[in-house]
Amino acid sequence: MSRTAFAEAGPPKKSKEKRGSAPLGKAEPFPRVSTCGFRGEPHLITALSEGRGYGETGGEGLLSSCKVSASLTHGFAVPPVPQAGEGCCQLIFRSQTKMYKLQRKAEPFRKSGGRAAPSLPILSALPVRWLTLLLTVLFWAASPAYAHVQQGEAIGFLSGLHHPISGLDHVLAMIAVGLWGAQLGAPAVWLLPVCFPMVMAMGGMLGLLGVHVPGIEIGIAASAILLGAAVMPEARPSLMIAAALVAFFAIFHGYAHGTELPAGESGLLYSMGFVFATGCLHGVGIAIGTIQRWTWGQKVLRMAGAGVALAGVVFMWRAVA
Amino acid sequence: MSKTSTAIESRLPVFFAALFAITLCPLRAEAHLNSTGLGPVYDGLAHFLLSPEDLVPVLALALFAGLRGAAHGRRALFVLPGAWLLGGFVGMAATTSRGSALTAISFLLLGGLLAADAPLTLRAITVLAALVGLFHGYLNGAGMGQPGVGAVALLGLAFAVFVLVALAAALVVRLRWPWTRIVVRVVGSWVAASGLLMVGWALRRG
Repeated sequence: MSRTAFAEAGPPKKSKEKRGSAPLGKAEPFPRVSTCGFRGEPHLITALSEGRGYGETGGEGLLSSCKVSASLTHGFAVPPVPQAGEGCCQLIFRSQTKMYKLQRKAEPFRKSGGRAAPSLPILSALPVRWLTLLLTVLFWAASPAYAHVQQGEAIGFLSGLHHPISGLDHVLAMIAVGLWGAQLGAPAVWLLPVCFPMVMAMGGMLGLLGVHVPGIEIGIAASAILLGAAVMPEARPSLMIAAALVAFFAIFHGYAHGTELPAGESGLLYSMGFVFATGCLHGVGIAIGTIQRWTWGQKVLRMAGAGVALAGVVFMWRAVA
Repeated sequence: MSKTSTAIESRLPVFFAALFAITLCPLRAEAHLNSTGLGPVYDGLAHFLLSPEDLVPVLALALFAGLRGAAHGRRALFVLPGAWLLGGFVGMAATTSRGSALTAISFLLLGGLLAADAPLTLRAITVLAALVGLFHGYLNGAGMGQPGVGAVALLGLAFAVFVLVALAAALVVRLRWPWTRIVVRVVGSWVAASGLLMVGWALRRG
């Protein structure tokens, strides 16, 4: 709904929907909106307090930048309409896509009957306890400030250790290998986790040598789908087929790891780190798979397999799209 | 007053006399190892423990020897440090050390043997330990370069190798549950995988 159309239509009816479930653009009690997500840039607060928002009233917009203040400043270049009212914006941060969704809340505007309203002190609208909670969470989430460029062997190991656990696609596939091994029992329970790192290293070597392997992301997504699909019905192929399947997908995971060594770090320790992390993820899968001995555990494992396969479908969609 | 406290009180004069005698003959506080001559020993020891290129193959060999049995472990325990020393002394006379690709192969070989739990004979283990010790010792010796200090450092390094092999092999020899031995083999596969990647790094550098 445009600003003009909103003014012509008059104030919206009070919504009876529950808090938190209101669709975009619907009126809603004012303090609920998560304005606490904003950094208090002066021009931003001024603009918000004057009822200007990104885009049009009641609408929603997408900003394709990480710089919150810069993007919003750009959005505020839209000239304000004369009868602008009070308003707040809701910011939803999506870390993966680096997109922001903005929603202008029109409740104060509705209250004022579409007339201009006095400026809104945004920060005073936030309950102190929420601010305190937010600050506490931010303090807990603090990470070390690195004043110097990190280099050296220990950092290489940590980078390698971090790489397999930094992506959910890797994590789920590794754990699924462990789960499937636990379902199959000996000797697959140890043969698969032995087989995987060896072939993964070969994939890593291909990456290091610059050999082009097509469809890496698709292969990783397919590994999650097929390994999850194997755990779900508790598939029991022959050991050779199971090992071959796991080994085939290990190439894609290894290739992805092998091509992503940060500059200036030890290749050996990076390699050791990611092999170690991969092995530990298999170990986690095997440890979880020990619940196979109980009936309820078998059901849980099958559900976990279904979850992994489902996540694999999402990864595939992302890889293809 | 109890008997114990009485006995303690009666010994107090002797205790204080002994304390006084000790304070009369103080020794120099050797806060730095350079003055004791032991600095290079610790240098060598620390060098080994902080160098994964040396540490990991030794660990893999020790685990493998322990997996094969106590006799194999004992053989590796004495052959490996001895060969390391010998190789180190030879390496000191050399001017260059180019061993990254061969180090990768030692990772690959030892990790593969450990993962497969290959049934090597005692003689084969001896030869393997000697080759590994000579090769890695040579690289260490060539890297140290200085004959005087380097030789002492090599002693410290060989001592560290001895201790690590003794601990690791003894640990594996004592393992009884089948799954624990499988864990050791899985560690071997990790070493071999790292070796494969090292080959990739070496080939990439050209």
